[in-house]
Amino acid sequence: MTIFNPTTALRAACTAMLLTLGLSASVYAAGSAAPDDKGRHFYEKVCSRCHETGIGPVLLGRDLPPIFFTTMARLGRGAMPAFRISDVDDETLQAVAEYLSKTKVKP
Amino acid sequence: MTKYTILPKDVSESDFDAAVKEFTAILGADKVLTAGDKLQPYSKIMLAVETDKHAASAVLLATTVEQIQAIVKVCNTYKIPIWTISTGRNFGYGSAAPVARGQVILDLRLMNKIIHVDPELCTALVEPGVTYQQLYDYIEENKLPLMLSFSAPSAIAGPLGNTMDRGVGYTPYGEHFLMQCGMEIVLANGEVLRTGMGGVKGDKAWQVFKWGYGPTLDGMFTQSNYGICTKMGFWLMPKPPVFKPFEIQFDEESDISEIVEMLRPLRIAQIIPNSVVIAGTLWEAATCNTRRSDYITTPGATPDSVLKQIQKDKHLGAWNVYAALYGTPEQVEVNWKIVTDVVAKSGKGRVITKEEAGDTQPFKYRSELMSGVPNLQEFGLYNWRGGGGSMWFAPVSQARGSECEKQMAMAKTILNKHGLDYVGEFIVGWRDMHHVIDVLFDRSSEEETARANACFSELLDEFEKHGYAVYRVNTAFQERVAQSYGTVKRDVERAIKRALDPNGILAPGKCGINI
Ligand SMILES: Cc1cc2nc3c(=O)[nH]c(=O)nc-3n(C[C@H](O)[C@H](O)[C@H](O)COP(=O)(O)OP(=O)(O)OC[C@H]3O[C@@H](n4cnc5c(N)ncnc54)[C@H](O)[C@@H]3O)c2cc1C
Repeated sequence: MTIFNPTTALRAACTAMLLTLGLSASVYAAGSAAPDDKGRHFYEKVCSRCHETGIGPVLLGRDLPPIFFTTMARLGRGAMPAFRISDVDDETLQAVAEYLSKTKVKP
Repeated sequence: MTKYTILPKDVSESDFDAAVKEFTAILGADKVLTAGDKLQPYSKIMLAVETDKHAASAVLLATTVEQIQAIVKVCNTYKIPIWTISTGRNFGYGSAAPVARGQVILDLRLMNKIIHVDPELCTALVEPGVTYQQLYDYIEENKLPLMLSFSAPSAIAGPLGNTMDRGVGYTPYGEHFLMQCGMEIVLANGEVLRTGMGGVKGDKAWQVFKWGYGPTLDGMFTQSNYGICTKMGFWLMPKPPVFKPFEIQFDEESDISEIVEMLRPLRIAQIIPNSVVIAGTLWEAATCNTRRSDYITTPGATPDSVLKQIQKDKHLGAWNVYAALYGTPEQVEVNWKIVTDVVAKSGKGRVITKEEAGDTQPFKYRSELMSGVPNLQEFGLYNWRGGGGSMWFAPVSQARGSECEKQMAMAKTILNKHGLDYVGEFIVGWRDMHHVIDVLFDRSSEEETARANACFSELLDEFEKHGYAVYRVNTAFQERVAQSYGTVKRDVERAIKRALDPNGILAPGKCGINI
């Protein structure tokens, strides 16, 4: 399993990307709190295909803020595909991000 | 300074304003995207050219055929070029981004109805946004005795887009365009054409008889810019009672010729009925999560000594053949004997069954691909070198040993010369080979990106000198590849384009076709 270390540099890159996009954390934070189920369902159906098979970095239990996940999903990073609004709407993506940010490391 | 990030070529801001206003009236404001942050996910290309060259000016999210008809009318009025995507996962061929800067993307991902699946005739009719995963779930939930064939990014890609680009899968139905039956097309003038039997009032045979009457038109809408496909029919394989996947490993790179000679008769006679894959070491290594940096940190092409070490450590062949048998227990038993006898007689090759391989990769994902179970394991290819650069170089050849050997040697020499690796596989069609090579590079390095671009150009040039051309190519090289196929073909394509789309609004430049 790949262990992904979200270093300070990566966090900074994430913030920089947000700035480029003209987004602010509060825009996303203002989204309605979606039930974990929706987020988990999408994660299990799509994200886990790479992020639990050693292809992409582990996302569970990383203690990262939701904005990190929403940004990565919309931009794609390195080889990761970018997820368009037609692939996942803002509300579902926010639910995924909130779900992930609250998860614990898999035993 | 314009309020848009980009304008379509030769379109004034006031005309674009007017067009956007009309698009908004048709679709609603939330379905017309022009803001930079909304366009960003559409611009992620993996190609060795600047991202800007393929940036879109807007995205339209249509949900009905009528909306698309109205959109093309607006495009004709203001001469707005549109680039259609279905599921938009054309990775290594340009992803969702248009062939030319400024084109408006028509994203049909939200048109995602499975219109019908007929479990008796084994046919399906779908809208553009349907993914393979969605179809798979539908088949599973309804316990239908059917099997899908799909491209490796199965969980997120879709049958309509893949077939429009004439993509391939790994089951006996792996040549997807061969299995396509009936299309609905919105033409540039807004009219709706149904191909095959689809134009006949009261017809029920649209998804079962491909040819209809008179010229069969379906093919000309694939890899082209003559229409927007809004529905596509295709055939599904009945799920066989027995599915027996297997692998045959060969130790030497020089074995390729013998492998092809051995497999061809089995494939042509349908003893092995599926699109057999012959994968090289690095393809295999990457898809079982091996990274180049695990072995070597110096830049450039990976030496053969390292390939041999990887082969040994990961228990891989220099070539790894994946195929499967499908049918009743009796049929599979007979064919299994034929296959294993042929391998034994050749004196080369280790046969590995599912029982022997267990749950190990890459056998597991190959077996899933050959039996229509979606996964994304092949994305491991991108971890080999890292950096997110990928362009498929996919020349066609005869399924003949000497040809495959020659292509492989040429490709490897050129790739290595540019400091890149041969990460390739042969996908055996019926009589042809799709020789698929992933030109992987670190797109975060300008220098490596420039090398990858030069490498791709040289691959095209050198292969052309030997009478080879690719079956499909990324958006940055579509004009170049069109040249390989000759001027007469191009003239005919242009004449058709002018007749069907006189304003050139549909994906101008796609596959090198312009008005
Ligand atoms: C790791 C990896 C493995 C891959 N393996 C395979 C493989 O096994 N086989 C394979 O074929 N490909 C493969 N690919 C390439 C590609 O990702 C797939 O072909 C994918 O199915 C194409 O994307 P899509 O299905 O979303 O189609 P889309 O991106 O929606 O469509 C593809 C193209 O068809 C045209 N088009 C789409 N919709 C329409 C329409 N409605 N009307 C007119 N034209 C249209 C457009 O030009 C578009 O660019 C692979 C990619 C990766 C990263």
